[in-house]
Amino acid sequence: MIFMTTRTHFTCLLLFLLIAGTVIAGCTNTGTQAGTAVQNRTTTTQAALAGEEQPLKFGELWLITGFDPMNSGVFITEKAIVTEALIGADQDFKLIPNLATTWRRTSPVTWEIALRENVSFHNGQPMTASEVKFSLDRAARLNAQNRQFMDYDSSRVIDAHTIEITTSKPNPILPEALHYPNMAIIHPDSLDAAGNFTTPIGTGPMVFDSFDQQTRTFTVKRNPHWWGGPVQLPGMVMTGIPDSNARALAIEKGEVDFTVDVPMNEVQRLNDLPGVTVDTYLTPRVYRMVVNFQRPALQDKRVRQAISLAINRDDIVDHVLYNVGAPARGLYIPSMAWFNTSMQALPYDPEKAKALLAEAGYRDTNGDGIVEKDGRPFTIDLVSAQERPGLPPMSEAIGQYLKEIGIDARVEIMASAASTDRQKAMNYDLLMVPANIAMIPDPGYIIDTWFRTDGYANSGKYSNPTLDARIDDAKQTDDLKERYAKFNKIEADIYDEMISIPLADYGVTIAHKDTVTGYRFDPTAHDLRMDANMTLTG
Amino acid sequence: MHHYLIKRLAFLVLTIVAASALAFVLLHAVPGGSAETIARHTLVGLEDEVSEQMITEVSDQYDLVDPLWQQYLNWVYRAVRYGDLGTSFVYHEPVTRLLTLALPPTLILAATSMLIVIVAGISLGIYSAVRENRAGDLIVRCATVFSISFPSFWIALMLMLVFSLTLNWLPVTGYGTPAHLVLPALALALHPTAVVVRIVRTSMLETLGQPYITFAVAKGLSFGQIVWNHAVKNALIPVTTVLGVYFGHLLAGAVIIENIFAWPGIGHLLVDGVFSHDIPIVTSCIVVIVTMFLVVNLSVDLLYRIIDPRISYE
Repeated sequence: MIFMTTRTHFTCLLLFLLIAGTVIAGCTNTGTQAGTAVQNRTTTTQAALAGEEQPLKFGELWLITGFDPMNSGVFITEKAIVTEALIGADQDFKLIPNLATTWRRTSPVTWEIALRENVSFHNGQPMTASEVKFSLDRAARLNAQNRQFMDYDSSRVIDAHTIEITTSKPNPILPEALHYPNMAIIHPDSLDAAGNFTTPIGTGPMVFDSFDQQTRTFTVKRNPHWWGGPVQLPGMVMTGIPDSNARALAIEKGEVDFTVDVPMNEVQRLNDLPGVTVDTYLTPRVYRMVVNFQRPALQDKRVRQAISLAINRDDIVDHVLYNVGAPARGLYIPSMAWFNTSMQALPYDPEKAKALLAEAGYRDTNGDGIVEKDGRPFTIDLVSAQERPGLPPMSEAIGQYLKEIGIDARVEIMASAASTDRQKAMNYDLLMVPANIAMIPDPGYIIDTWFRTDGYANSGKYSNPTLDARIDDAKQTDDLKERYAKFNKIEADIYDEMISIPLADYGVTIAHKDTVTGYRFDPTAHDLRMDANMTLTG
Repeated sequence: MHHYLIKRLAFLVLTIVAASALAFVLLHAVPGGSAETIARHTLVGLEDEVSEQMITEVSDQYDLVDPLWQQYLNWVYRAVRYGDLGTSFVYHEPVTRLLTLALPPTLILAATSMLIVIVAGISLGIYSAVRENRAGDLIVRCATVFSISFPSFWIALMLMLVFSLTLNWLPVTGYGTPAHLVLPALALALHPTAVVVRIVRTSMLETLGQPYITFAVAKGLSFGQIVWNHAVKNALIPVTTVLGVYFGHLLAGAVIIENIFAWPGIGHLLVDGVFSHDIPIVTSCIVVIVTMFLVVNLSVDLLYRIIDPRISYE
């Protein structure tokens, strides 16, 4: 009898699991629909897209956690070209008209900006100065960085297509700040009655279609009424694939048409695959080492110069970065309008490095290969985050280069959160950083935040009142030519002083199927921006 | 029985409270600083510098300046009083909504894996016992040793390599179609299947050695009848417990598999929450996972008594 009961109950359990599975499967479909129902326009568009033109499948770098253009670290509405900023920038980081056609400074703290006419939002409403005011007010309110970029105080609608922005202090680069993707112009209906952001209603060539909250997939479709003219691409389906190896797999398997930042050692192999092309571009990001100026040894300029001379940057680019990148030449990348062409790549000269160390009092007295000063061996903690694929091998290589000139470098690689803690505690000698150098298209941004005494990215706590005064002076210079010249002079001095040690320019890889054509890389985007003129065939 | 149930339920609540408190505290011990990580995810780029002003604003916005115990008690109060698990710092959405989206995929994955475990585990176990020490048994036993020894993430990657990249039969990652379910369910099921095979085999062999089986043989019953009608039923009693425990493991243990296969379940949500210091998400995910695990275990214990009335909890 017991056996019978066991069997019956076991069968029941099995049946229960089967039924549960089926029910749950049923529920999920509802769940997904409920997820997309938030912006309930999915099915029709996807059906329409499936008819003739397929949307481009995009493997995005980060998980798409949000899509508020003013309040998200993923910048998906910029990537998806749903929202646009008032002012654009060319390949060489020079400003060009976008939603604004002209701008002029009417007093030290006021700017008058003329808006493009005949621009309409995705909901059909015309773009006027009041929506621009709404967007800029909101950007400044939500995010301290936006306020700081713009020095935003207020704005005033002059007429339908003219707006006046007042800054809290004179800011010659307000137009540059308006290029930043957080300052994109959105329609107030992007927010619901309670003030929560629900739908990005922008002016760009792509219209927001849906967001699947379950798979965090962001779908956009062509804007037939874009002010910039006809849009080639029918739409895009964007999903975050945060792992670089998974992105490489996805493009190899054909699951995405377009992706970014594949592992550097995979670039050649992927490019050799039939139907896949991998292009490399320089982005405004550099690998550099932050120097801890609270460490006495590193306060000596000769020691910092010796460290730089010990590093063979060509070899690093060839063998560590697989040529995805370039040896650093100054603080900026060559495509920038303010790039100083007289800047030379930093030389590799271990003999000179040793001589400089000896001059600074470091000598190998006990013959163990490590130099000493005052009887103590010269050790350096080189801390690096592990997230960017180039950082760990680069740190190991630099550790070796430093050993060759007699510095005992202890390389420590950790999660970026842990390295941030080390940085805060000033518990490092050298810190590897992959830093953005043009959040706004102006040379002042990095010099001001990295090297000014109170700069918020001045991690090494460098302080030089004379330099601070020069930065302040350059920052307030209106004339671009003069401004660039002043910053170039400061850059040259920073370079000579080795206040931070530049290593290499950051290369970004774009892997796409050969069916995707016409993509033009935009180096001025925060991460990247898709191109309305791309086409997808086959 | 009632005393037992009350005791177990009290223990369940206590464990959930302890787990949520631990998750809350541990997340604060993770390096990086919550406000700074949240600012990176919501205000500036994920790798950009965060100014002190932003840290202050984010801390104020999410009440991160309050003492830890107060933050935790506030969360518990709202959760118990209003069923409000808070709003995600990064997604800017109610946690309950995110959980309702993440739970079904996890349950589907766990239920499918469970089905594989039951069907494959029991049938292979019986086969292995019936063919004791013959070639089939040896192959099954070797396979179980491998399945138990290799970690599930390695098996997941190998499955991807073979079935997705080389044979091109199945998609690498993703969610939405039955084809997407195959590899993660297999990867998740392999380890428990191997364990179940071993237990069924041992249990079957033990049962087959019982005097009543000898009696059945003497009665002249066919081998098939003996195995199916007499041995299997008895041999499966211990297996039920193991299956129950493993269902809990499957629910909770999907964290790694979900992340490898980009399966939008609760494990995926949890890991993303940890990386972005999204405190309400992490605490709520832990609470849900722990609750599922404990409830399944409790149900199995109760079910066990129904299956085998000789067992009493008094």
